[in-house]
Amino acid sequence: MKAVILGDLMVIKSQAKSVLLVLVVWLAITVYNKSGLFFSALSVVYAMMLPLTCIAAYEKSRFDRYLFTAPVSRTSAAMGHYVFSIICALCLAAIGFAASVALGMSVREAVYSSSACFCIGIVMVSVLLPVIYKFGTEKARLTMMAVFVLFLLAFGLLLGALDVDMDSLGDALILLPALTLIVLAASAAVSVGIYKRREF
Amino acid sequence: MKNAIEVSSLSKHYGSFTLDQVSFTLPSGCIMGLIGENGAGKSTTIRLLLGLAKRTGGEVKVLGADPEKCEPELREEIGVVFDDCPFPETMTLRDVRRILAAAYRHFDGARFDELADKFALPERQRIKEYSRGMRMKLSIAAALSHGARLLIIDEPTSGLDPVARDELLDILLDFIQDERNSVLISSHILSDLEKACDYITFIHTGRVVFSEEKDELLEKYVIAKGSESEIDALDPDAVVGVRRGAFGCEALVARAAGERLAHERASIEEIMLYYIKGDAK
Repeated sequence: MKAVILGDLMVIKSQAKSVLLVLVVWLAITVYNKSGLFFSALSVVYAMMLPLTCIAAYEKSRFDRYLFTAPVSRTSAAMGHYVFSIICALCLAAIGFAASVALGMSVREAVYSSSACFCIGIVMVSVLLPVIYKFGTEKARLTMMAVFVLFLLAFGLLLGALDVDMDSLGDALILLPALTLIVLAASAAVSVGIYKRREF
Repeated sequence: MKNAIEVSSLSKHYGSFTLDQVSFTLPSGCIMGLIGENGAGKSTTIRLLLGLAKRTGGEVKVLGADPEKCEPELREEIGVVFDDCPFPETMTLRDVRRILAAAYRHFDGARFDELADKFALPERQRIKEYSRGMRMKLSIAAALSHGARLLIIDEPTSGLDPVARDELLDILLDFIQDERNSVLISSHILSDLEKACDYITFIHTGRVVFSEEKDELLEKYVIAKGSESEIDALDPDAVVGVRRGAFGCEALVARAAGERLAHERASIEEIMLYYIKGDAK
């Protein structure tokens, strides 16, 4: 698994300038708007984009095929991208948390908002990765957009239909980590199954 | 171990293509060339040997183990070189070194550095800036730096200039100096294989046409030349294929039958071509 995580980091490192530029621009907008929540929300999209970028680079050079000729099991290769995604989402959540606190949000609120964005990012990655493993990154890009739009629509419709006020929504967020873990575990199981059956 | 690779009745069905009952054996300490046209089944055979695809039938033993079981110990002992560099092109030599160190328990960094130096691979340059020859050398350096006992190489020489191809063959011959090491190499450039290989396995439309020692194969056939009537008079069982031209005929025939006519040595390439195209006996 270490080889896959390192591979992901190497791919992102090679694009460090553009990755950092986007983060700096977002941070600038965040500071201008005086809302750390803005950064945390956008980090959800980034948490999906970074593993997608890595796997696209793997596909282009057929690096995954090479890894399976090395002592890298299909399970650990599939899980490696999950671990990398979680690392990315954690880093982004930490930056979002720091920005929120620095801009005057209370620590409690900042923890809630960053954690919620982290969990949403992980849920979206959990939907995306099995699609990438099954259909490749090109189709997954469309899926990523669809997942994001559908998630926002479903979330909005659900809130409207249940007539939920924001305070009770805050209470419900306590359930989000558990929900995230369930979705992540199910996604990982599906991904490992896909990788084990896949031929290269 | 007596044999590095043992393949028996290996089959794989893909839509309209079938790899049909392929059998061959690569003894330890030897180089085997896998030859055939595009789409003949060479790469499919290699993918099955590496456990990258699941066979429909048959038995495969690579270094005594079944590759489909994906044993890490087996993978440590196999060095693989594909037709293009498998590392993401944004990576550098250093990045590749780190990944290999993480992937292989027996990765020998000093050996990798030595090979990188020998091949003059730039350390900080990205792989996308490497020439085709340099990419191939990087793949070979990776394959040779974790104590592999078997090299499996798929179309390494296509796109390489003659100097780079010659260097690759020298590397293979050097690797095989240790009699425990073996090489399976598929290539379109049959003159290269003729220089380096001990065994030749010819796959045509998913079937093994022959799998023999190279020297025996070259000894077995000659190209006989003569008039149409002289060629037609040859024992049909001894004739592999005939080419008829405006100024006479040529046929690939068993040496004993062909030596009665004017004849010349048949190269591996000619043997393959006669099997594929010269079937109008």
